[in-house]
Amino acid sequence: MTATRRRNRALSLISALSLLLVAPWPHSVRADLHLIPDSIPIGAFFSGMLVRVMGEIPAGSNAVVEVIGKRIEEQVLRKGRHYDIWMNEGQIDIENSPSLYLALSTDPSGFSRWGADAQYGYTALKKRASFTGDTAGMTRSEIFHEFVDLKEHENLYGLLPGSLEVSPSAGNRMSVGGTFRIPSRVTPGDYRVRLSVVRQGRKLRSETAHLVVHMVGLPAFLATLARRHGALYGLLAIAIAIIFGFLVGVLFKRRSHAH
Amino acid sequence: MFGSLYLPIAGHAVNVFSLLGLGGGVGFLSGMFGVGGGFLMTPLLIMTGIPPVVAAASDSNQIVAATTSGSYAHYRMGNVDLKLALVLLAGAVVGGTLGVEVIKMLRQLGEADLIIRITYVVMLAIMGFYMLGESIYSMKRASFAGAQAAGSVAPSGFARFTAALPFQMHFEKSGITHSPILPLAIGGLVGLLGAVMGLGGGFIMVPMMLYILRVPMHVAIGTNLVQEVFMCSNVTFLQSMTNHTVDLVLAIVLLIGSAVGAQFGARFTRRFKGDQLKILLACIILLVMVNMLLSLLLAPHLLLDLKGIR
Repeated sequence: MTATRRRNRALSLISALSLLLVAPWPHSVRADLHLIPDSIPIGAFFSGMLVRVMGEIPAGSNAVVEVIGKRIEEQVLRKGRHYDIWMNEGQIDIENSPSLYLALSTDPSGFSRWGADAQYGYTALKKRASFTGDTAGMTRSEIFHEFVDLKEHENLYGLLPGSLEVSPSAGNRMSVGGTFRIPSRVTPGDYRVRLSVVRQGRKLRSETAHLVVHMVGLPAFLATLARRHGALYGLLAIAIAIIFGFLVGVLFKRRSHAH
Repeated sequence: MFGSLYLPIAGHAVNVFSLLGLGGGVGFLSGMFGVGGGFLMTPLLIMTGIPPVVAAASDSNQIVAATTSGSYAHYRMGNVDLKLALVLLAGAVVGGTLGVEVIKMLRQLGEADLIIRITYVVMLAIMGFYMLGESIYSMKRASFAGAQAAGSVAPSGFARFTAALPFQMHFEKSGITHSPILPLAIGGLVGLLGAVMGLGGGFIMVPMMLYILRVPMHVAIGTNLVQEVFMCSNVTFLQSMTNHTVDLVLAIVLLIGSAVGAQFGARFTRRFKGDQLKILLACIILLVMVNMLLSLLLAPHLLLDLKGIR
């Protein structure tokens, strides 16, 4: 075989593989995804928000929906016993873990908390996360399990197997729907919502939508003022406190005179 | 959710009625005992899920309102010794600055957390038990001896020492004569401990004014409130400038509750005698101490804690 023929074969193979990657998936494997709402404003009375997720998947498949925040570095303090006293003993930096992670599925046994399946759920997150700092002999698993407990306590991580409802749809397809709650502790930013089509434990296709969380009104104004004009913010805080304290004093003086 | 309010710096929602109740309750105690209430409010806010750094900084902001309101009420009742408040404040500013350096040094040694917690428990225990014991003894003595003249008791060694200090000056409202060195040193020590423990220091200042300076209870309460207005204003400004951890929404809701509560507290004070007030304050101090001690000794539910705010 000449060098030219070998090169042509290689080029053909690469072209065929590229076509496979960019070509649209067959209709039967396609997944559709919609979010209501797809934008969450954090206003003065925001206390978290329910988001409805809807999609279509091929009949006979299962669906997994993941809500994933930006991968960030989180600093946590490790508690330990020192002279029989519980205290913060050291700092651990956790990298590559999402700020928010919620997972919903059609299958009630879709994912277990620490199952072997590393495609979804906490096991998948653990694979990607890395830890540095004062771990003091804690294993990777111990640190991540404690970290997940902490995030679940703050409602920022959660697994909801079986929480997606399925109903028949036209053309050998099924409608999938479910609701998840964005907690009030959510950080403003862009969140990915990914719907994956799963058959016999294998991911066939996934579709991603974006959910935008942003501050508006008074919270946006105060957060900006606090971060960009700290001195002015501090003076404003003191002035409000002194004026309010004094006004209450005067008000109570009048009331006591009135009696 | 009904009654929810979003805190932009803490980064989550809280129930406005629970915060108003919390502010009102602590403000009541603040007005009654002349303490800023930081030693109660900060741990309670942390228990409601507010990040510790935001809880401490926003609490100092709301203390400004509670102490302004309480100071005004006590000033009208003639319970404020402005001269003494200024001397204590001068000492507290110097002590606070020293305390910031001490805490930096302890952090470098890696022992800051342990020392802060132990200092907290030890100080609370000393104050609480001493105040409780002394007040009970004083009440018993009063009931047995009746109106025995105070002048018949021989001055203690400590009283002779303080009388020998230079630059003696009279503090008219308090009815005491002392060298300014003594209140300056007390202000300095309280400022230092306050900076190390992250508090205004009222619960240390009031007992020290009572037992070392011999200021009458009601004047100690009013005078301490005035110096705390300035102390906590300074902390609020510095925290806003450097750490951006003062949550104005949280502080405003708390201060509405605490400023109103402080007024009721100040009025309620008049229903009690000095010794009865001391016993009540001692019991509250000891309760906080026991709670802190248990948190140090019992295994926590979670072994990791998020550092700072998100």
